[in-house]
Amino acid sequence: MSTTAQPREQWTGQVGFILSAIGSAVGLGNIWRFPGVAYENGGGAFLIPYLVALLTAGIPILFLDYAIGHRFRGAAPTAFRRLGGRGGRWLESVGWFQVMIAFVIGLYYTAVLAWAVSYFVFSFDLRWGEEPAAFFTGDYLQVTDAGVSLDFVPGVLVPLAAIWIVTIAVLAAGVAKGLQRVNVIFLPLLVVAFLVLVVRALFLDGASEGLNALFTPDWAALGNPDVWIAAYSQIFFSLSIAFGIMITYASYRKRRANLTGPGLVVAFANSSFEILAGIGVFATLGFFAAQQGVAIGELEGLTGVGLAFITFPAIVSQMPGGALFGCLFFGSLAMAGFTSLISVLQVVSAAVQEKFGIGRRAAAVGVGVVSAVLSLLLFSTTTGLLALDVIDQWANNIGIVAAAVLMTVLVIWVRRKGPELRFHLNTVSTFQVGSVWTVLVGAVAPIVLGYMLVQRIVTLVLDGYGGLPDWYLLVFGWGAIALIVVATMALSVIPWRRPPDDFTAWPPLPAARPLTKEDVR
Amino acid sequence: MTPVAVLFLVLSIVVVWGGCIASVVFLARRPERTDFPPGGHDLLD
Repeated sequence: MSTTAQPREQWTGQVGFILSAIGSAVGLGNIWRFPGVAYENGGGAFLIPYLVALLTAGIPILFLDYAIGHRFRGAAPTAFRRLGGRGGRWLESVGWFQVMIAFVIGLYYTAVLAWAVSYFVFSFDLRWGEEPAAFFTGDYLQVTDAGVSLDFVPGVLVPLAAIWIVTIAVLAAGVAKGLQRVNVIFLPLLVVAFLVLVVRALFLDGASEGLNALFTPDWAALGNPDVWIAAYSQIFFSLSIAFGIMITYASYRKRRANLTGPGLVVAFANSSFEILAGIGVFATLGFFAAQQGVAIGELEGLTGVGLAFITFPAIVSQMPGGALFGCLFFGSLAMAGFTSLISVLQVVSAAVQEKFGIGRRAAAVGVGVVSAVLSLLLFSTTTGLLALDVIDQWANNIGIVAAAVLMTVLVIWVRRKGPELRFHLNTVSTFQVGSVWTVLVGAVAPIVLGYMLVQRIVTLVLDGYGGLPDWYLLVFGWGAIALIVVATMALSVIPWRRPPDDFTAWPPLPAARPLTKEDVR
Repeated sequence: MTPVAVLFLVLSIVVVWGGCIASVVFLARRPERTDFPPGGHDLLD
């Protein structure tokens, strides 16, 4: 094991970074979440809160992540520890909180990916038959009642194990030869595959009715606060922000590198793919509704797992050339998911490398094997679907949102780093951010996200989730959050193999005096 | 499709894809700053 510091890994250039960041942002949620959320929250009118959320929260928090990772040159715990400075080393714990969320998400995201890969194969002979819902929960997942089971389902176990092996290999290969190479191959392939799918969908009978349903504006929805919260949620969860990914990815950019220009490309590319997914998914749903002789509003399963693994297989079965359509859809889902998955796990791997002073291969294998074992035990059994649903609900809606609120409040209000981070962005970037950026990340983001967090906690406490027993939600939902918090505290107090505190940020702040408008302009 | 749905389909594409194209063009024209402060060469972090 080397005892001297090694040069930090880097993307090979701007394009590699942009493709990798887009690959991380464009994930399962773009395909199966955005279309349904837009439809249920005002249709065409949803575009307005969606764009407002993108400009006032999505892009500003993305820039905040970039600035922290790039200025303080590390995975989330390293970057926050350095940002905290002499009196704020404890800020490392914010980084570990983000790392633990990524760790938990990685466990079940892999399982969904395994389903997508299985369904890609099933598409060739339309194996789900005439009853896709019964096939998914019965024949494929073999779901039983809520509980803890060690009855493994081979159809999930095998692809899940295979995905973990490939993921470990990619992480071990490093930033340029692993992550970037995967994104450079898969992202263009994903766009081409999905474009073909969309064009095919547009020529299906009933496609226009589907697009009518998605794009006809319901102006009354704009007066509903829940619609605005839905828009902020969609943007927030879609951009891979506030749980360490973009901090880690930005830390692999060379110091003399543009941040905000590529950030705008990443944010708009992510939203562009969401619009494309909306068109493809609703044109397809229009066909399905026409075949059933019902209106779009009468269809069930318009988002999430239900849309992907029940509604879409049903549609594929009724479609001329359905096998190819199914391959395109599930292939796209698998590629979008994989490029996001490796970014989630790189957060954990990079943090472990830096804290324990080990190489990337050792970290990839260590993190990968521990994650794979837990993932297989939890999600390849007959109770995997329920556990996944509950852990996802808590990790996303409580974990990530809490991480974002903590980050913005502690960085902007407690450590007062807003001017320094804005100075950093403007000194290295071609697109300049004004003082409004500090207001957006320091006030708008924590207020909106804080409201979302409180609202969700109250709902989960009062109403429970999915009709599941309280003990189950306590173990898998609140238990997941408790695990994240306890692990955060434990990892924060473990000594560093090589403390990262002997560090000088570049570019240096202007001589010891308060930053002026000229400095940050 | 109804005219209003077509309008919002086109509007979505123009605004969001237009934003993507505009940001790509902006980046292509100004990919990096030319006036970095001294230092910032990547050796050891």
